[in-house]
Amino acid sequence: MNIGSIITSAAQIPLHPVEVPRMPASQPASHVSPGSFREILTQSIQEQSHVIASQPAGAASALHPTYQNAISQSSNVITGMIQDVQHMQNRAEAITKNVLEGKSESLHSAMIAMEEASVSFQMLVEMRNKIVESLQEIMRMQV
Amino acid sequence: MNISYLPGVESAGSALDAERMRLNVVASNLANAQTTKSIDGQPYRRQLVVFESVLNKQLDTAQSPQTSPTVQVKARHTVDDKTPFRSVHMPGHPDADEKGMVLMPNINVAEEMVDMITASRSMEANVQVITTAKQMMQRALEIVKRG
Repeated sequence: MNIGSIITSAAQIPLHPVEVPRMPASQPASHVSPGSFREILTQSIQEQSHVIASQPAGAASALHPTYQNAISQSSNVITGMIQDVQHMQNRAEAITKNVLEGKSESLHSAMIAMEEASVSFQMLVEMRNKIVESLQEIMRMQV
Repeated sequence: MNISYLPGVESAGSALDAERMRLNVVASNLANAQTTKSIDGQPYRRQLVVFESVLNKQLDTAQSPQTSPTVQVKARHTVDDKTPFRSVHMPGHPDADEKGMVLMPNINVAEEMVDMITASRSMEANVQVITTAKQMMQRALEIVKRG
């Protein structure tokens, strides 16, 4: 697993799936009055509320596909990472035990295994922080 | 086989193992510099350690096709140094032959000390590699840190 790709993918969890509708072609991009911006915003909120309202009542717990996709992707990644961290910590413990019992004389392999377990655990903690932060951001959105 | 999070750590770890073995060999050489009778009746022969490189291809999984194979080092075994023994004139020695010459081990203490220093510096360099890899990973984790 590439650390960079995992961290960037955790940082890009989509917050909302709404696409802002395009501005009319007659208006140049530089000319955005506050009135038209508010129109766009209210229009997008109305669209989203229509989408939510149009879903059948029984599927109230079914989330928007993008939400569901994001959550399942992140849960797969997180589960895989937790297993990795567990595996590394077990390995570090086994190697250290061998060195302390005198069965193995390579002290540095114990040190390296401990360092790798520590780094992978830190990465897991950072991922968890990022996901919690994203979820809090979602919670903070005013309805 | 799990891929290591720290880059280059497998090669550096193998080098630390190899240098430790080299230091063991240097220590036995220095300790036996005056041994005139070893197990086979001959004077102690200087031991050399032979390194060879081991190409370790990472498993070609779908997640990491771009991982480059790491080359590790392994101390294969110790070989005897084939240079001839030194003949020293010591008539009173119990192992002296009829001319009073004793065969002493072919160990040059200065060479052994240089080997020892080489092993020590090489170990330091490889530990530096591991420390640098650790620092690089810490910096990468700082990307997502708050503030």
